Amino acid sequence: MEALVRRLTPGLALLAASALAVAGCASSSTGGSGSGGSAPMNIGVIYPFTGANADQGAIGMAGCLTGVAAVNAAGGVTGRKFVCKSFDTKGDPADATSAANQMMASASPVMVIGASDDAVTTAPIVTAAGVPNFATIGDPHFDHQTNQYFYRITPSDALQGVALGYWAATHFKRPAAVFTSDLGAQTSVPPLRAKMTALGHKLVADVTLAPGQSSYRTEIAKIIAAKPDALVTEMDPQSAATFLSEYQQLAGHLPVILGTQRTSNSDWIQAVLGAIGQASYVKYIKAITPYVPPGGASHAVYHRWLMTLGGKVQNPAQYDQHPYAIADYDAINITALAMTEAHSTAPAAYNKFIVKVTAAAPGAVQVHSYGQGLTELKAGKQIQYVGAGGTLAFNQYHSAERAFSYDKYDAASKSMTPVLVIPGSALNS
Amino acid sequence: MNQLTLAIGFGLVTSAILALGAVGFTLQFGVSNILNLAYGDVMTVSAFMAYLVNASGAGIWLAMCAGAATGAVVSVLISTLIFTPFLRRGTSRFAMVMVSLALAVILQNAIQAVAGPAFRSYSRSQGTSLHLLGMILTPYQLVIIGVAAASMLALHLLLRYTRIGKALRATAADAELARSCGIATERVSALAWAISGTLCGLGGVTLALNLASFDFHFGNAFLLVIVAAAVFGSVGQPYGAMVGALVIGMASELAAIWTPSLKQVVAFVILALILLVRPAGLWRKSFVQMDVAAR
Repeated sequence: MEALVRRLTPGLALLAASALAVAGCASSSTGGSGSGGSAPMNIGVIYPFTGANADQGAIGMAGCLTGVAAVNAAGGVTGRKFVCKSFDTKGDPADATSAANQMMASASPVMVIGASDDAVTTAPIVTAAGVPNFATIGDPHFDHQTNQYFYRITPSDALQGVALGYWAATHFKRPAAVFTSDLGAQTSVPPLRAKMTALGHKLVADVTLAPGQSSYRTEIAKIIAAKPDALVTEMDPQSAATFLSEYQQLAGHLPVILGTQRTSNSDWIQAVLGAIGQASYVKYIKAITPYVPPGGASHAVYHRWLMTLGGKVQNPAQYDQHPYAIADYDAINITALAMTEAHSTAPAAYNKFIVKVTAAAPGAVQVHSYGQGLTELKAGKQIQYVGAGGTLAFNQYHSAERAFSYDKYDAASKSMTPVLVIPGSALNS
Repeated sequence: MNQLTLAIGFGLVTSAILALGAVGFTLQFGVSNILNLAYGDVMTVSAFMAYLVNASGAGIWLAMCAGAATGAVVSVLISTLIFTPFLRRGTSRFAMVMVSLALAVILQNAIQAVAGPAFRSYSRSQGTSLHLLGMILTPYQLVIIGVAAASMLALHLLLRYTRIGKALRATAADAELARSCGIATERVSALAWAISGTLCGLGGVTLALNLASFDFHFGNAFLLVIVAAAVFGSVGQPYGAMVGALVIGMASELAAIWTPSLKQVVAFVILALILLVRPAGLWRKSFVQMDVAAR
């Protein structure tokens, strides 16, 4: 064995040196995407691609690839094509920092989509370089942010919590809250409690779980004793599978489970479906998620390009109604239109036009795709891009608020689908 | 339902799973002096092999046997092909920890590359919950407790009352002296890795069964609590690991009655307090001293 290792060592060293040389060449060829000419422009996609939240990366990449396909098919921006470049935060702040630094140094992206929870770490690095960053973070700390390069295209968790509280208070007599202690889940809890109180209701149990435990039976026994008729919840897939499976074992059946956007992710569905069975899943699992209007001109374009990604994205249909994949798709279109209107692909120049191409204005023509917007802009018209996820009106803090919907599981498409739209008045009151 | 009695029942299940993992881990350390951080990933490999067997139509118990066998084979291969060559070259103990860490990363990525990032669940019936002395347990949980108890008893009998057990303890005490006394220490060491690997495999499958769904990194995620149980009872000491598993499993379930979000923290606070009072862990006798006591 040792002799074999000795014989192979010079060869392995040569192989390693060659690999380094190739990597060096590859990185130098992708650098400087913001420069002119006809070189492709890199779009940084920064999410966890491995680890417990790896699904976020798959969702982000589906959105990016769909947007890039649509923009490139229309000829790109000033003749230059977009390319998606993925960078893995692994769902860890330390890894997220190095991933963001590596992305900015090696890819020189003209815009960045992501991260979600990790944006706390990655957004300052991206925006400090003067690159527009479209994040899907729900953390309410970003509700009043003032960074001119930061944009949030999905609703704040504060609003998600309000929507959960509204639905729980108006549809159940004895709801309980069960959230894991991680930041992504906890940011919805205070507004949920506040909305319940405002509507004159209270939670019969309010439990915070340590995520990733081998068992939750003791916690479940305590919750069952409170006799809830619904559990309002957000948990990672592993914790949710263990918790709900054990709840079903101990109580004999589940109450209604009212989840968040996380409940709609394919990894969550897969983990929990295997743990509690399809019959229970269909009957009990519901979600309150950012609303995506089914159909419509913008969604039709999104759907068409999404379904061409069969070789690049696993089961593209699962992202057809996914608000986060759609948000990332819309971000690509908005960027391309802003670049076109600015007559520049330089971030500092086109950043000023991002809000403008999405804002409703007198005389502005509503467009539903980059191709359509390009035609109108060339004709000298002012445009308002209406996304596949609906109208995107950025407020003064660069957050594009959206409506919420009540979703049920559709076994045929293996995804959560909207059943009812929650009126904005219910959330604002 | 009395919350305390229920928690004790649930704590027994948690302790049983933890004991399988912790005793296997500590046995490896006792014989080889290697802090094997790839242990959790061997648990994952075993659980996936059991999944393959289960998905092909075999029952969960046959799948568990396949998982245990996989744990044994993979552990022996790791010891023979990776750790032993490094040790022969005089690699330091700290560097060996790094080697095991690298192996853990490689194994985890290999599992993800082969099996994908998807969650898996064993095909099994839920079974009716049984009420015993105020505790509620499913038949599966009773079997998990039974498997753990039987494994611990078998290991005790092996170590105390057989020639192989004596050879194991002699090798752990002083491998060179044992070799000069005619003990085939390499074979004995391989046997120790096979036994610990079997426990590792059983721990992986029972943990995956208990979790309901599992993915490519679940074993690694539980390594910390397994190491904690082993450290609690003095690393390298199988009986100590059994006690450590019982204390940490029970402490975390009882803590969940009052503070669910900190259940694991409570277990680690107890561990820290024990280590403050007894820096070498709870169990006084080392693997070597046990050898003397058994004569």
